[in-house]
Amino acid sequence: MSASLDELKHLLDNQDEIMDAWMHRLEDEGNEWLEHMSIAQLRQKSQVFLQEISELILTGNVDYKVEDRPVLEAQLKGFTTDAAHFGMGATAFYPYVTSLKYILIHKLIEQLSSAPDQLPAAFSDMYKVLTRPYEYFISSYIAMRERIIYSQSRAIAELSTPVIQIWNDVVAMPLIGEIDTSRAKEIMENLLNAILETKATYVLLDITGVPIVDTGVAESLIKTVEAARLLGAQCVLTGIRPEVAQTLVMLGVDLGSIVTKADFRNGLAYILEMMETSSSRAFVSKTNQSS
Amino acid sequence: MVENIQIFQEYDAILARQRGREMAKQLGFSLVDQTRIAISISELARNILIYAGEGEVEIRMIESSGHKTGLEIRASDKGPGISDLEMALTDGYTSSGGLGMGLPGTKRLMDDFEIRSDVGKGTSITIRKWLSS
Ligand SMILES: Nc1ncnc2c1ncn2[C@@H]1O[C@H](COP(=O)(O)OP(=O)(O)O)[C@@H](O)[C@H]1O
Ligand SMILES: [Mg+2]
Repeated sequence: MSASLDELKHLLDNQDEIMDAWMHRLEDEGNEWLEHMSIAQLRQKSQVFLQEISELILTGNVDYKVEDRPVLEAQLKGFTTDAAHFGMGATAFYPYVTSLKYILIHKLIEQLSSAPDQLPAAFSDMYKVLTRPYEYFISSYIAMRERIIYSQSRAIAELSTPVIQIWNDVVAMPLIGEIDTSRAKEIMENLLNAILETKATYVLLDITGVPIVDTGVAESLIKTVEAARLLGAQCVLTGIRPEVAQTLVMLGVDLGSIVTKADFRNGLAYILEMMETSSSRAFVSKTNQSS
Repeated sequence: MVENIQIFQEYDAILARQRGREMAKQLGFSLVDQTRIAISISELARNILIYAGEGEVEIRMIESSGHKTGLEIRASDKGPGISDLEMALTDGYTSSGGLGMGLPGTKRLMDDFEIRSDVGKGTSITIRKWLSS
């Protein structure tokens, strides 16, 4: 694109003109950003963006990374935060950039009318330069939404480490979702409190809904079971999926000190059986005493 | 297919292992292997958080000279490093009151396990799992 460089330079030197045309077009199109800010505000936000884009096109730096352009990156992060804040969609950036593309295409055609063979290369450079910010916007927007979803699911998780009393002396705790350090603490606290309150002697801890059991999660399960035992309650761990069990064995994590059963039903059956034996034993020892 | 995940908080470790599992699934790894990969990523990412504070996890699809496909994970940090690698790789050794099974366990779960660590400079661990055809 060297031959057309001067022309391009001329074109992009005229940034105010481009800016005017772009903003005008955004207004005509009723761009979504303008529902949330004035045209003057949008213009101000767009200034840096246009400068960066122009510089990249001019220097022919089409294979750049947004991460290597701190000014541009900061600008795009700002757009992302705004979009998320205003409740705009992941595609909010697209019409905005497309509008600029349209303006630039027309300017390029005008500018390069004397050298039309330069047009394809100039177009392709411009497209490339404009694609990166768009991709960056989308992925940081998605990352931000994922963060929001995560913190919401954390909030739900806090509400949803329920302990249910399912029988005299038996409580159950079905765990659902990812377990991180803070959640592991909540689980332990909730369970121990419930044991104290209900005077339960058996606990069903079901992890069918826990996707990953790494050594950190295993450790917190082991600690929870031990703490419950100190309070006089025996835990039965249920719902370890086969692939998780297999992986734990290979990891070398020993759950041997914990009674495990395939599923909730088997766990409950086991507990009822244990209760029966211990009550009949109590009965036997009573009859022995009285005789 | 390359994913680079900065590890700053526990959420990032969870995100990294979820991404790893997704990529493993896409490549056609079995359910057990997907789980192994996810747990290994989880171990390395959590170690970064515990011992180095922050770092990054990179997950990429790879191909060997023999046209074997696999998944490579590199977990690196600029933390304190590990002075005695042999000890760190011993079952049950922990400096934080953990289970001490993260590193040796990950080594068993994966096909390749390479560790580089410079005291005061940081740690970089590369693991690979190959798709058995
Ligand atoms: N990224 C790291 N930076 C510094 N030290 C580490 C790192 N990862 C592991 N270690 C050291 O290796 C030991 C063993 O790690 P691991 O097997 O995961 O067990 P655990 O985390 O339960 O202690 C740790 O206790 C720690 O001393
Ligand atoms: Mg560890």
